[in-house]
Amino acid sequence: MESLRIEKTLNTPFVHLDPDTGKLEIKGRSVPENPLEFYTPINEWLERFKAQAAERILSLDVELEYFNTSSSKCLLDVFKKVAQLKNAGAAVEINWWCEEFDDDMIEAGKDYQDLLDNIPFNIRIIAEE
Amino acid sequence: MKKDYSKVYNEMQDENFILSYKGQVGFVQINSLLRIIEDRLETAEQNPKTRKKVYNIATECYQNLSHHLEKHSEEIGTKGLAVFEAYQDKYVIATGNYVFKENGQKIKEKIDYINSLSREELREYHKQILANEAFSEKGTAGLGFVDIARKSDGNLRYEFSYLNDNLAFFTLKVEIPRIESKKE
Repeated sequence: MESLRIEKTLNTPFVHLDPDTGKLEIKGRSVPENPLEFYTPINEWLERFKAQAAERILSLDVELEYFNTSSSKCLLDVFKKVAQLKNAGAAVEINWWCEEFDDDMIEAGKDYQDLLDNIPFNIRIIAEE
Repeated sequence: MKKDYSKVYNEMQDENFILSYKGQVGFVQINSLLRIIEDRLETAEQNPKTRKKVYNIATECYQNLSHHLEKHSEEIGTKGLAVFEAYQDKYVIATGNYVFKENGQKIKEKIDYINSLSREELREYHKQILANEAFSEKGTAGLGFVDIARKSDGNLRYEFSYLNDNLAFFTLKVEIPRIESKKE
């Protein structure tokens, strides 16, 4: 299975989904006009990964600077797909990275935490450089 | 009457700025506006938390305006008003557009409802929409006002000025205080 790599743009994040290491990354800004279009390949990739999910370890790191409300719904869909991989036998976790001062981002993470009670959803603070 | 811009210039502090745009509010135009705002905030706002919050709210307000006008463009056109004001003590983000009475009524009810909720109730309402409601055809989530209200601590103000029985000009205004950057 091929990895999925999408370079970041002004309005969309960097994405790297690596089937060999089980490391998934979404980093940058997510404020596209049409988030559905952007997130569809990610969800399709996760769907295809299901076939080899058994006994795999998967971790999704999400580190967003900004995201719009339309993206927030797409992100929830991605997280639900990851949760399905758990049902398919993988050990999964999601890390939601926030800057220490960013209460809005931390609160958004807590919302997701509440909506995804069957998988580890960790709110992590980015260490200052 | 002639407008005296030297007065506008001199009355504004160096770190203040006003951006006012009327015209097509497609995604491209909104992006250009947001780039300017982001660039100016980089130097004008020392507090990273406020900077991020303000930029986030501006993004949501203007994208909201854009989506709304696109949806109703056949009747009311795609022109809107986007305003951004930075002062010593606060930021003001505003949008303006024409709406039909029926639509205006729906917007009013939604904002009134949002404004009636406590912080915790608003959070629950947000989660409920996020988890349960389907996307619109345009891929919007119906969360714009709720998100803006949460980030601005319930500071959604609106006004409808009726032109006639059917058409009103809808103004949305959000104020974000610059408290924390001024405290120290």
